[in-house]
Amino acid sequence: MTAELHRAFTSLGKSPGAPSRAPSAVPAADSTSAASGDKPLPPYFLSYTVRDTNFVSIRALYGALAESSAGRTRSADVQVRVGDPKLDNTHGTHRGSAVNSLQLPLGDDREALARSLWLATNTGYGNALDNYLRVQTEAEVRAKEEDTSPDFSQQAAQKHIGAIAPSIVIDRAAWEQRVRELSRIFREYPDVYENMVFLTVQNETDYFVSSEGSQIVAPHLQARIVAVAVTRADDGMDLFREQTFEAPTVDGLPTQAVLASAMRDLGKSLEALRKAPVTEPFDGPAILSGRAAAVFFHEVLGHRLEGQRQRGDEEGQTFTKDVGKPILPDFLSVADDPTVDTFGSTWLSGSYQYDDEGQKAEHVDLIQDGVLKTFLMSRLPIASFGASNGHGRAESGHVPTGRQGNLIVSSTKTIPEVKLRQQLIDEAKKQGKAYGLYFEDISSGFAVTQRSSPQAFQVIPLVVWRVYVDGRPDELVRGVSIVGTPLAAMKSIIATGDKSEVFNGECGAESGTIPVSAVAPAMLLSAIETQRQPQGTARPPILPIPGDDSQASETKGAQ
Amino acid sequence: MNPPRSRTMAGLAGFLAFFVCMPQLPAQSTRADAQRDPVLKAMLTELDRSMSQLQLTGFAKPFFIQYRIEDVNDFQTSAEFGSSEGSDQAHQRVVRVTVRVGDYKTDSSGARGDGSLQVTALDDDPIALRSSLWTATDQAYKNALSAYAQKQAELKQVQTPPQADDFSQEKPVISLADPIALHVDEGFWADRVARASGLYRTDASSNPNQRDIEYSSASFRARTTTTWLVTSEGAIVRKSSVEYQESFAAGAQAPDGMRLDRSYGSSGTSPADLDSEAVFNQHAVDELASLAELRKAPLVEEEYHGRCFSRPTPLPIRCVSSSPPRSRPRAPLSVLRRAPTARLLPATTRASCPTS
Repeated sequence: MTAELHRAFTSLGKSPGAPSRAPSAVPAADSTSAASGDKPLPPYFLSYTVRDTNFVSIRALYGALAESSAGRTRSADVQVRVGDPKLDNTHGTHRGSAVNSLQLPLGDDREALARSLWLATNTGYGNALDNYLRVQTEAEVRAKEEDTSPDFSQQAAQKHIGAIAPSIVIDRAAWEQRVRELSRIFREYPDVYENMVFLTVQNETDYFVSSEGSQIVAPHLQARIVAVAVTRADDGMDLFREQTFEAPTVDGLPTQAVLASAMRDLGKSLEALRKAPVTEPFDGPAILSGRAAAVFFHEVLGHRLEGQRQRGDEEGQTFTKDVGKPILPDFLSVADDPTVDTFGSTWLSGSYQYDDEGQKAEHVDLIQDGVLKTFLMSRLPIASFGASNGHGRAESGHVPTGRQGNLIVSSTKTIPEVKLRQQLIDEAKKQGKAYGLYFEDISSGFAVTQRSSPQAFQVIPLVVWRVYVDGRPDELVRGVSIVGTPLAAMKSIIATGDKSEVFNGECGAESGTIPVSAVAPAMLLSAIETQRQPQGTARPPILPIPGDDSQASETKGAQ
Repeated sequence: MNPPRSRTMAGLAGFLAFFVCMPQLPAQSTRADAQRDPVLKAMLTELDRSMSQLQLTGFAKPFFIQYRIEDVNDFQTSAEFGSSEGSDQAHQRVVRVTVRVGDYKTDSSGARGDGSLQVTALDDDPIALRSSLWTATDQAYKNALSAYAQKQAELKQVQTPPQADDFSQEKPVISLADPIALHVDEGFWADRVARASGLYRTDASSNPNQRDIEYSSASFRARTTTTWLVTSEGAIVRKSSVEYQESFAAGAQAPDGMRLDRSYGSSGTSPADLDSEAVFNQHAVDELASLAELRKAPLVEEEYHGRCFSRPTPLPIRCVSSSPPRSRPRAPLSVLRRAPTARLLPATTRASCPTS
């Protein structure tokens, strides 16, 4: 990698009129007269990122194996920047022009690797030149930009040669049986119409070299079990529950007994949910459990603290001008720390040593005592911050942007959850409500940060309870999602619980899908707004699920 | 049967000429024979249940249901520039369910198809197999009811309804061929395609031109497909096929920017049907030589209206040569030059002309 990068960087665009050759022939040379008249235009930055991944994937549904595979892949992202750090081919909407991806041979055949990288570099260079021309033209014809920060920050070269990720050690036959058995547990719940249990194990070694002199080798290991179960209420509403378990290796995953118990909890929960009443839109006090609060902060706050969202004509820039100002209650602080890989005994999937721009991961205090301090920075500078803080992240094939890793919310105003529940009841009474809501589990959510749309968020709960003020037992309800705007939502937090919970998941945005974690304590909000979820109209299955012989002679749908 | 070996100039991705091997069938299979196959037994059990019980009150029962399960076991290995890119084995079973409501004269079928799909278990687990069939059948039945109601409404608006029946009645067949297992020496084929993809630098005649090669890839693929099919009319079929193919492709770019690609493939129903390594590699070397000649060939500057010949078609056909598009703006890292029109093929290269 280093040799081919050096060859390309020292010869691309520096020898007008001389055609380039493949690595084994003459040194690469180039003429780039197309970009700016007859003036050669070499790249000012070049980097290669290689991901060498071993994987095992096992999937079961309806209690039987549906997939079992293993393999190895090696892919490369070639990043080429033309122009200079102040204005280059990635400016504005051309950000994607920096990266060109390809599959690499698996062996250590130097000639084959160099050839593949050469081809991708050449293609990427041509694309970068083309986009740089457009950027130059657009810069001339448009009005002055609000944020005139450079397109690429100057950073010190990083050198870290870590361990190569080990081969995956797994008893595949045993795990096939374990996954099969976990899926089979759902046969105990005949109203769970579909289920899937999925094990993925991935041992990856990430290599990064750049023309600035960075050389990084870092391993990344992850084993994950995902369980999904689906049912449908009689009114046609589709309902699902999912649960994930993560660890660096399969040996760190929970025992089969713990997993089996979790499957049964999912099954019971779904059977209860399909019988639960649909709740109406609500505006009042609510508690978010720790997991729910973690997702809430990821969506409502975290995405708005990503650096690239503070520049550009289309971004809403909710907090851009708020550095040094309070944006949360003063008992709350928020940090993003990819350098820690556990919280308590729970592994965090958003951990990494170096980001995807070759910068060392950093603990970043985003909000201290409610006051905004900084943003999640990649190497795309913004008016208030000109350097990366190790949060440039991307999926293969994308240009890194500022992203969350392990978002950790902490509080100095904690109370036991029993008291938090009592505060919810008190708050509901104060507001004249018959009940408050308790959001026990949340599946996902999304945030809109573009100016062209309302600066809103939506979070999709999976398990919601009504907590009545008159002492009635809590009531499970279904069919709502949390909606709102970030500024109002954040200011309505009035207390937190004393135990934090972890949400491990995957986050998709413009730089692709990446693993993330969020950690937060339960939170009491004085006001939260919910709306009805979209609802299907199909009736439940007409015949009972096979194996549910107690109902075999009857049809559920026929009346 | 030994199918003929094939040769194509159409590019690696376009090489799709598969040959299918059908095993010998036992004589006069019966439903009882079929019930000994756990997949067929699960399918017949769920089919019987659906035909006897699946009905929404006030709506028609299905008059025809077909279940098909396809088990595809696919192995692929590929290499680039003389080094393996890895191998992949994908094994999957898919359920396809067709439900028809109405009768043979007028039923729920439409131009957009009338079935539903589900991934199902690789294990021969009867509950799991039936669960996938059950889900797909429920969806297909509801879709069929909706489609049938819509068709009935539309038929009321036409003066003369279609005269032909929507569906033919056929005598059911029971045919049970043995499933074919996939046997591939994965390491052997990974090494062989790696060697083929590296010929541009290891073959003495190709080596002098290696600097011009932009890509040189080879791949091997083997796939078995086993299909189980049952219908409410009594048809029970189990069939299985296997196919093998090996491909080579290389590309370069002329100094003026024209994209040049050459490829070769060999396929058959057993590894023995494929070219020997020596023969396959010689074809690959020929393609590399052809690329070198093409790079040096002059351009056709004008449109050509005349006769050209294409093997193996013995008859002359009319063809028109016009300016082909360039796929890239320039040769590798070289100066952008004017757009070419067309390129004359060297004498040793065969041309395929459009037949229409």
